[in-house]
Order: sequence, then C-alpha cells, then structure tokens
Amino acid sequence: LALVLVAVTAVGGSLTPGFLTSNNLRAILLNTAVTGIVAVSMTPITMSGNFVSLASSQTVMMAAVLFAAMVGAGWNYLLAAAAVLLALSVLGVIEGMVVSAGLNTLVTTLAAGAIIFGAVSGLTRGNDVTFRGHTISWIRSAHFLGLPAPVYFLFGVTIIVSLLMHTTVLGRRIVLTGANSAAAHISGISVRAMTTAAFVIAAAGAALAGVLACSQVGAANVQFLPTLTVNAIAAVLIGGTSVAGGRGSPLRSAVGALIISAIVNLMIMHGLSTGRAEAVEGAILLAVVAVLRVFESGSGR
Amino acid sequence: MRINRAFRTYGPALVVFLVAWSLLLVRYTGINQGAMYPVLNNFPLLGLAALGVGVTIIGGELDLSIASVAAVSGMLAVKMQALGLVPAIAVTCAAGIAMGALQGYLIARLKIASVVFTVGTLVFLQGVGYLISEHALLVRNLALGDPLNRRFGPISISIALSLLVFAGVGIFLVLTRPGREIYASGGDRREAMTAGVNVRRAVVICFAISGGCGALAGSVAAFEGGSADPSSFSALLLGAVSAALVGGVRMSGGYGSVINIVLGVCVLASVAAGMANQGRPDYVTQLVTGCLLIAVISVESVAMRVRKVRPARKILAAPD
Repeated sequence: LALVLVAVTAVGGSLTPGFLTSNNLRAILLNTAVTGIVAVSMTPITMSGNFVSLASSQTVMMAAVLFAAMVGAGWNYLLAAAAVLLALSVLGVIEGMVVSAGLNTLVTTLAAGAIIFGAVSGLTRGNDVTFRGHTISWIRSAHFLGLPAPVYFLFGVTIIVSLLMHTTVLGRRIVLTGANSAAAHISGISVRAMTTAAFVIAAAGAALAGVLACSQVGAANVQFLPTLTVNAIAAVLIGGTSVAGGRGSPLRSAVGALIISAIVNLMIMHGLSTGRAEAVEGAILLAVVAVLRVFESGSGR
Repeated sequence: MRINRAFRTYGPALVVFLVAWSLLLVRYTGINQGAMYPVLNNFPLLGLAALGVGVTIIGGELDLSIASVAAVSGMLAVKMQALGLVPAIAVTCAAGIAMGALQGYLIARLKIASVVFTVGTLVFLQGVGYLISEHALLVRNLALGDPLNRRFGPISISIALSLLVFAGVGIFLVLTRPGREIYASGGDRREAMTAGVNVRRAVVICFAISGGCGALAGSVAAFEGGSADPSSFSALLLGAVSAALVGGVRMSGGYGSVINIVLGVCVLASVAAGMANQGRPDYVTQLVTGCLLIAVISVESVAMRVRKVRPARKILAAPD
C-alpha cells in the first residue's frame, strides 16, 4: 500500500510540474488532515466487525457547530474542545450501545445522522455559527518544521489509535471481536463493551476533526463538510481494512486518505474538474475493493 | 392462521400508517383528493427508490447507491431530451437495469459485501453525474414533462406508472421462480444454495430491479421538475431505507413484500405531508424519519430476541 502511495507520488511528480513542491505537498497533507482523522478513528468500528458509520459527516458537523457556539459564547477554547469531546463521547456510547444491542450498524448510523442533522438544524435554524470575534487562528497559522498544526494532529491521532489497536488489551479485544465474535464471547470478552468502545473512539476522533475544521474556517453550519462520510469510508476501504472485521489498521486508513487526496490533487493540477476526480476516486475504490477481495479469497482457502 | 400471519406481517406498519394518516386528517377534512395526492405523489420518487432498496434488502443485500443512480439517471434523461419523453426515460431505465445487473453480477461473483461495493458505485456515479455536467441541466421544452403530471383525480400518469412498476415487481417476487429464489437467497443463503437455488442469478436480478427503479425514479423526477442536478437526491437513501424498513421489510433479509414497501412509503409520505402542511421546515421531517427508523429496527430486534427465547413454540406452531 505504501508502494502505491510512493508510485502515485513518483508518477505525479514526474508528470506534473509543481506537484512535488513543498507548498503543494503541504496543501495535500492539510487537505487530508480532517478526512484522515475521521477515517483513522472510524477504523476501529470497521475492525470490530461493524462496517462503517454513515453518520460521520453529521457527527463532525455537530462537533464543529458545538465548538463554534461555545467559543462564540466566550469559553476558553481548550475548555470548549474538552466539552465537545465529552458530548460526542456520550453520543458515541449511545450509538455503540444501540448497535451492540443487535441493531444494524448502517441503518442505525443512517438514522442517527438524520436525527443529528434535524436536531442541529432546529437549534441553529440553519444559520452559521461563528466564533464572534474570539479568534483562535493560531491553529490555522501555527507551523512547526514547515507543517501546519492540523497535520500533526493527524499524525498524533494515527499513532495513538494504532498503538491502541495493536498493543493494548482493549485494542486486541476489539480486533478479536471483529474476527470472530463468537470466540470473543466464549473467551469472556464483552462484545457489547468492545463495540461501544469502538464507537467512542470514532466519536472522539470526530470531535477532534470537528474542532480542527471549525477552527480553520472560524464558523460552522449544518451544511458543514457534506462529503466527509463518503470520503472517510473510501479512505478506510482503500487502506484495505477488511469490512468483515478483524483485519486492518488505522495507519492504512491514514495512507488511504493520503492516496485519495494526492490523486485528487493531481487531477485538479492537470486541470480536470472535481467531478472527474470524484469519478476516478470511485473507480479506484471499486478496483481496490475488488482486487483485495480476490486476494482475500485466494489466501483464505 | 392466515389472518394471524397477515396481521403479523402488515399489522405494525398498518397501525403506524393509520396514526400518521389520522394526524394528517386532522388538518384536512376527510379523505379526499386533497389529502390523497400529496401522499400518492411520493410514489414516483421515494416509492420507486424504496422499492429498489427494499428488493435488495429482501434478497439479503443492501444497495446504498440508489440516490446516485437516480441523480445520474436524471442527468442522462435530460441529456437525451431530444429523443422525446418516452424514449429518453426508456433508454435511461435500460441503462439503469444494465448497470444494476452488472453491479449485482460483480457482487455475487466476487462475493463482496454489497454495502462495500455500492459505496464505491455511490462515489463513482456521483462523479459521473458531475462529468455529464457540472451544473444543473435544464429541460428546454418544459411542456415535455407535462404528460407525466396529467391528473386523473388523485392519480397522475407518473403515479400510475410507479404503481404499475410496484405491481409488476410484486407479482414477479411472489409468483415466479426467480422471484421466490430472491426470498430464498435473502433468508438463508447457504440453505438456498444447498437446495439448488441460483443465488448468483437472484442477486443479479435484485440489483437489476434496484438499478431500474432508481433510473426510472430519477428520470421521471427530472422531467417533472424540469431540471436535473448532479447533487440532487441527497436525502433519498435515508427515505428509501426508512420506507422499506418502516413498512415491515426485515433487515435480516428474506422477509417482507411489496405491500410492506407500499405501506412504508405511505407512512413516510403522510408524515412529510403532515409536517409540510403545518409549515414545519424540511429538517423536522428528517428528524422524525430518523426517529421512526430507530424505533422500527429496535422493535424488530426485540421481537427477534423474544422469538429466540421461545423456540419451543416456534417448533409447535405450523411452519411459516
């Protein structure tokens, strides 16, 4: 997979003047940050055998609107971020408990997305929620070693979630739940608790993504980041995490997100429309999914 | 026993529908055209989409790409408006059926989870929509779509057309061998295979129906509305899945019929009409739809559990 990324970069670099400039690479990384964080933190849900969340876009939107409202009301931004994190974790617990009670993940999250959208629209009346002069633009302008701050958050989240999934007991249990929930149950692992934990991780990631996206723009409304759900799912799938559960890694999702933004960036630099880029993204997604599936069934038997 | 079964199948949805309908009637004064039309008028778009998704759910799959199919079909149909109304819609539907069949074939052949594959086609077709045109396409001759809106009492041509499709799919599912095989594949795939059911064909047919329904829904909506936009129908997937499940189609597959889907569409349409009638904004409808959806699948899940706890009674009862 890393090879694909290197190949894309190499081909892109040789064919496209200006692709390998540090400015452009930085832009790609910055564009990846929010989608990447959502994709990485959603990976535990997929690995626990619960497909994907169809509500990521709305969840992140809600986090952003909450954050904007609290900062606008004069809260300290760290306090506001912590409050958003708490609120979304509660939401994650609820979603996780509903799903682990045996309800279909896709339908539940589809419904959850609609409910969140409806509720937030009702509260904001469809208006923009802004910081009202309380700027925290440092997050947009802060650079360290030439990279903007959100990129470091992406790195951080990827490292934390990867460590969590691969080295901690909790993470290993979540993976086992996805690989074989009956076996997990027999060995004394609470499938419900693991599913809920996966949803909480996803919700926490969504909170962070919402806060970051909102601080970059300085405002949020109900139409915030509408394509995020599909992009995050695409990143997870292109990364090669198995939808059947039990196999995959958050790091791969991050790479998947990077590949998508690199390709979209390339196509736009070649003067192709966003529509064409999206069609290519879909085609790649289909191809990757099909190829992985062929490999999987080949090695599985 | 038969009545009992019919009640179990359609009862819950019927009750919800009657409640929603009576709420609607509080506003209107009696069952008349005024109250019927806003409900029936949902069949060409929401209804057909629900039918498509519903058939895939019955077959044990789930087609997430329906909204994209509808959007692209709308663009395609408007692009071909020079051909005339009927040929444009017919060609679009043929394309939709072919696309759906291909999608179904790949899913069955590669044994990919349909959710994964259809998310891919969802993104892909969205892109194709933008490829056809970045902006909304307009129907140049606005009178072109008029025949679709011609009214006979509470029924317009497009409503009649969609009801015809409902009837056709319903008869196909219940009375033909391939239709029954869809139920068998949805209920228990391994059992179905052992019994000699052509599961691959069943999945292909499911997705072909779904693609065709999506294409018809999109193209009719485009001609009725006079334009097609690549970003339209964003809430259609939610509505379609909700309608099928609220009507009583079970997420686990192999259960439910076209009548369930009709009931589900009526429920959602009544709710939407009622909300619109009270001047509530669109998002309230989404909120209510989401809540209904959660409620319905919770009830289904609890019912499944209750049934599991009493296995003895299931064995003693006459086989379903």
